[in-house]
Amino acid sequence: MALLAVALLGQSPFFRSISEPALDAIAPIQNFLTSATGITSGGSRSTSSNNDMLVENVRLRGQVDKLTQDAARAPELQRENDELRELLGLRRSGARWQLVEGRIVSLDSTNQVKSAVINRGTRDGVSDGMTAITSRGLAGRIVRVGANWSQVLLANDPSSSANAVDQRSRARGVVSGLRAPSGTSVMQIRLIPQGEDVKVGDRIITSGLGGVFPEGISIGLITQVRQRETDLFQEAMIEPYVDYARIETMMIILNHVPIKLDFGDG
Amino acid sequence: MFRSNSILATVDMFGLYLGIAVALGGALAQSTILWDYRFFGVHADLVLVCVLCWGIVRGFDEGATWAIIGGMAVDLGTIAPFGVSSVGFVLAVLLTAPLANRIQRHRPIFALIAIPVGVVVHYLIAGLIMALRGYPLDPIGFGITVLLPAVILNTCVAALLLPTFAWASEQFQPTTWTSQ
Repeated sequence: MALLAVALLGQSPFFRSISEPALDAIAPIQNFLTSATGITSGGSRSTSSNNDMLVENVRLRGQVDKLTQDAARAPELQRENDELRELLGLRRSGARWQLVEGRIVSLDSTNQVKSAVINRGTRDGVSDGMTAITSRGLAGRIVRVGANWSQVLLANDPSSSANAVDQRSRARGVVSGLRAPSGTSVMQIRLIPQGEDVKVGDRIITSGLGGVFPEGISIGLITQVRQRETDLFQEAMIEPYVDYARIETMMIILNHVPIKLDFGDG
Repeated sequence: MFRSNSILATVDMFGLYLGIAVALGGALAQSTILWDYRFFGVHADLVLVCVLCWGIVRGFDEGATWAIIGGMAVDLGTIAPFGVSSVGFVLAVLLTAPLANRIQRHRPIFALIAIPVGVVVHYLIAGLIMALRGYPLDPIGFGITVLLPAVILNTCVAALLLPTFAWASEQFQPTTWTSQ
C-alpha cells in the first residue's frame, strides 16, 4: 500500500524535490555515455572504412531535411502571404522563432513512454511547456526542466496531443501518437468533423489553436483516412516527418510562451 | 536484512551494494546504449531482469530490496510517475521468487519459466497505475507492440543473467558455521 501511495503521489512536489537534484547529477553521466556510444545514430557500429559514406550520408540527409522543410513551409507561407494581402496593415506574428539547440542525452528508461532528455535547461532559458522541433517538424513538448537538462514528451507518445490542421483543406483535428509494431512512428489525427475534406497525401501542420504549440510546424503526411457515416468525427493515420527513433538534436522555441489556462479560482 | 552477525552482515551488505550498482548502471544503460539494441522497437529492461534473477536466486527479501532501489533508479529516467517501477518490480518479485523456488526443485534452469510471469506482472501493474493517472492505454496495442516483444527479449536476457547471478550468489552464500 505504501508503494502504491508512492506511485500515485509520484508527481508531487516532494518527490520532484528528491528526483530533480538526482537528475542534475545524472545528466552529465548520460551525456558522457551518449557521446561515447553514439546513441540513436548507430555510432558504435561505424568504422573507419565507411567514414566517407557516412559523411556523404550526413550531407545528403541534411539536404533532404532542408528540402522537406522548405516544401512543407512553402504553401503555408503562400497562404500567409495571401492572408496578409487581404488584411493590410496587420503584422504576421510568430514568424521568427528564437531557438536554442539541445542534444539528446538519453531516451526514456522504460518502454511504456516516449520521452527524451536533452542537455538544455533553465540556465539556457528553457521552461516548462516550450515546444521542441527538429529541422523536419514537431518533436515534442518540454514537460520537466532542471538546471542543465529538460525532459521532452515526444509528439509520437500516445499521451501527447497537438491541435493540427490539414494544410490544403484547413480541416482541424487533434494529433496524437500511436503504438506501432517494430518501433515505427505512427500518429493519428482525430476529431475531424464529418464533411471536412481530408485526403491521403495531405500535409498536417500545427494549427496554433489552444496556444500550446505555435502554428505552422510540420507534423506529417496523411497515409490513411477512416471515415464512417455513423461516426461524429473522422480520423486519419499520419506518417510523421520526424523519425523519432533517430532524433539526435532538437531545437527549443524560446520566444513562444505556451498559454496555460487556469479555471481553478473563478 | 541487516544482521549483526559479522559474516552474514557482510554477505547481506554485499547484496545491497551490488543492488545499488546494478540499479544505477542498468538504469543508465536502459536510457542510453540499450536504445541501439532494440527488438521490435523495445529495449531490454535490464534492471527488471536483474531484480527478477536476484529474487529467484536469493529469495523475496533481497529481491524486493533490489526492486525498490532499481525501480527508483529507472523512474529517474522516465516521465512516468515516480514510484511506478518500484511497485511493479516488487510485485513481480513477489510472484516470481516463490514460483521459481517451486519449479527449480526439479531442475534449476526451469526457474527461467518464472521470468515471463514477472515481466507481465510488472508491465500490467505499471500500465494500470499509469492508466489511473490518466495516461491513455490501448490494451491490445500495448500487448502486441510492447508487452510481447518485452517478454521475449527479457526472457532471453534472463537466460544469460540467471546463471551468472546464481554463480555470484554461491560465492557469497552464508554458511552455517559462521554463527558468532
